[in-house]
Amino acid sequence: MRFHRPRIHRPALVGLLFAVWTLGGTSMAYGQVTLVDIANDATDPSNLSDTEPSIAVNPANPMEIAVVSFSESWGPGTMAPVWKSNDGGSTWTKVPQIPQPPTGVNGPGDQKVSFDATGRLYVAELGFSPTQNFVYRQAGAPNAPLTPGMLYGDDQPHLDVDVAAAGPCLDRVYSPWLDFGVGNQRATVSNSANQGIAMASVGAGNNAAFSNRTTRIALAPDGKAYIVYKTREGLVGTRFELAHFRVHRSDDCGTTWNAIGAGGVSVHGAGQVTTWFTQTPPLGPLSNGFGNLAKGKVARARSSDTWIAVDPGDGDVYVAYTHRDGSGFGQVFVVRSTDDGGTWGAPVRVTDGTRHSAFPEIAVAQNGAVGVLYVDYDDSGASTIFRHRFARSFDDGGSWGDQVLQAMDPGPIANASNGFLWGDYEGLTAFGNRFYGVFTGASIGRPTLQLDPIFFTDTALPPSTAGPWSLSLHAGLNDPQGTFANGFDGDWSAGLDLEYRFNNVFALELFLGHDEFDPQHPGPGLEVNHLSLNGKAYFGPGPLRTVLILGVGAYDLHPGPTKPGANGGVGLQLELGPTVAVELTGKYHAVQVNGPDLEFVTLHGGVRIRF
Amino acid sequence: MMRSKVLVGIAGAACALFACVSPAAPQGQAKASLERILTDGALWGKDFPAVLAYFRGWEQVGETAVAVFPDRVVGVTPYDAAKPAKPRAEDLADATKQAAPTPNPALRPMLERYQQTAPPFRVSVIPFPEDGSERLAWTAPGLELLPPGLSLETVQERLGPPDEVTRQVVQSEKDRRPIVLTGYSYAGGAVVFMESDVAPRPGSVDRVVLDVAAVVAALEEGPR
Repeated sequence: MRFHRPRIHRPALVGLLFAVWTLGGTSMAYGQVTLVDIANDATDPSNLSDTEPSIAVNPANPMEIAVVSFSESWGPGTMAPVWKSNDGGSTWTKVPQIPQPPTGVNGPGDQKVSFDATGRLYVAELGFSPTQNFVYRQAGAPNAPLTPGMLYGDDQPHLDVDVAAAGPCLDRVYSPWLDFGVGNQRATVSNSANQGIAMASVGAGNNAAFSNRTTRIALAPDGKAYIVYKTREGLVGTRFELAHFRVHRSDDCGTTWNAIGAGGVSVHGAGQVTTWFTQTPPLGPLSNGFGNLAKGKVARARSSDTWIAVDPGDGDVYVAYTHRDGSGFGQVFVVRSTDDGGTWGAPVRVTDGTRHSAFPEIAVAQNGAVGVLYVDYDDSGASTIFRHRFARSFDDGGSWGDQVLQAMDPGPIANASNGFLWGDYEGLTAFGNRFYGVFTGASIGRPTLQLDPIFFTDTALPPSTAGPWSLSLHAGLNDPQGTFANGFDGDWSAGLDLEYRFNNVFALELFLGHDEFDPQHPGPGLEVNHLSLNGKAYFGPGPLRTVLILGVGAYDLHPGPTKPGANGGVGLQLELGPTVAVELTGKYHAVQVNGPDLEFVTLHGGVRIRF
Repeated sequence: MMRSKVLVGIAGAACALFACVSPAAPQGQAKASLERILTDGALWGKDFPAVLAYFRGWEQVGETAVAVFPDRVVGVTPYDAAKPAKPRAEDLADATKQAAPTPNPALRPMLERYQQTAPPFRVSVIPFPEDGSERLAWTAPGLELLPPGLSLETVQERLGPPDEVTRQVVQSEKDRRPIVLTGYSYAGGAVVFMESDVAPRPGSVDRVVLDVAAVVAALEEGPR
């Protein structure tokens, strides 16, 4: 049996090892997920703050992810960027494609990103001064300059595009914003049937008695549209206010917002909640901010206290909001509606009542798992430590598990501005059975510590009951290299390994392999049995991850002696579930024999089972 | 042989991971005096001398500092509305009618030509969208108070490293992204070159804040 395949050369393998290792330098394991710093010194040479990020996953190609943050401004002849990944978030490029709008205003002021069902990119932008909202649309190639649509509204635009193919509002563009031009400020939603070229603005919120604030939107698989906002009902001290969080629904593609009543429905019942409204400058001193000014920098928390999402499977509606409860701390709560927003279940506290928490974003995955991204702070030490946290629920919001994504002391971070640390926007979305998020956090692996957009992704599947062990069976082909190739051709190759994972990155494996080689001339073939101990490092956020393998072992040659050898390689691992993954691995083996090393490469495909 | 190459590869990767970037050492320039800054033609637009010629007007209306933008000068005092600012604007207009001679020989040559002329700008009350306030301002079409494209690199080439670098967050009652200004102070804080984080080109000078008392003192007192 003879195989004539292109040879894999050692320099190429070393180069691949280098590339994989270097790639790993921009990410780090932290808890369960892997964080990826979207920016680096090449793409962010001015060390900008990259605040207020938002994220969208292309439904036509979920490996394509877009993020916008305050990463550069537009101007005459200068375009603001969109961060893009084409590999599920492992690597990112900065694509300048948001031109200055025709009115010549500055920006971006606020921004939100989305995709439509066919994968066209949209960005809602606030320009200033004067403040003007626009929806930019992709009218050409994916990285070509986006085209601004009709001017509408003047503050904090959000954005979503209906991707429900079976629904009545496919491709409808929705952009909620807050209308400051009326007596009591009002949650308003502009909609467009033609990608934002024309926008129709509809007053949606109940501002009869109180001003509205913090309008967020979610779209259901049946075409229904939901907004949540708060009615501001009186300040409480210097950091909180009384409020109701209300949901409205539109069943007619955004033409009206009274499907569950003109006044909407309070998601927490008739009683008021006490939510964040920090009276920082110009409303009050910095000491009123989110944090402890005596122990470091503080954040503004005025219009980032609620978020809404719809289960793409069953249409259940979820709202996350903040409320200072009996614990005395601002806490994050989640509440669910199973009847299209008409009634709401009992609120469930996501946080543990031991620290102030705020800035909740919520998303629901295809399997119904619910994720909440939020921030808390710990000021029990010498400085205030802010922690971005990600909580998941696998029982419709009934109970929550939680992990710290990143803990950050903004004090030493020069571009972290006291009074405005990450802003009103941070990003969380879900596609399929994965969550995708972005937050403004501490840079990873950059020479100058700074704020950067930090990407993460996490599975929406329940935590595995498996331990750190896994077993993999794999098989494939081999190919002799160097002088070994002068006498033998490749044949089949197989392996079995037992792996122990120390954390999200590092693992050890005991590898048992068997390779057979065919003689090029009449005579016996060669069989190699080898047992090696390998170190492994996994890179990338998942579910598709790169693995680097390096180890030494004993190679038993038949016919021939047993000799020491080494192996190294790279692989790709695709997680199919909490206990199952498939792998493709390429390795280079070198066995120390008399004379030149006996060298060969192997290419294996296999399945890994965790237990 | 194979192992050595792998080690080289890993070593190369480690270099890429952990390479240190050291900031350039500041240039050992002497601190720039206020007169030197105000008379450095590379830092100011062609109409800036007129600002100095009529500058005392700002002191007379009680402004403690002014921001010199490329095309206007704006007082730092915020007013809730245009109406309460109007009387102060009238006071400023009165104080700006005539340029007073300066005894400072370092500044006198570039200001003399304004002695017999009306100011090339007018007093206005303008909306200041950064914080939603109204401000007193000198404005005129075509004013050039800062050189086009003035960069912080140029400022530091001319003046050396700043005395101090500060950050200021300018917020409004609305939810719009605040503007973050990074200030590079010279002459003990009398002149602050400011960079805005919303500028299309990072590293460009957005405005220059002048301490009114210090500049008036420089005009009145001569070299220090």
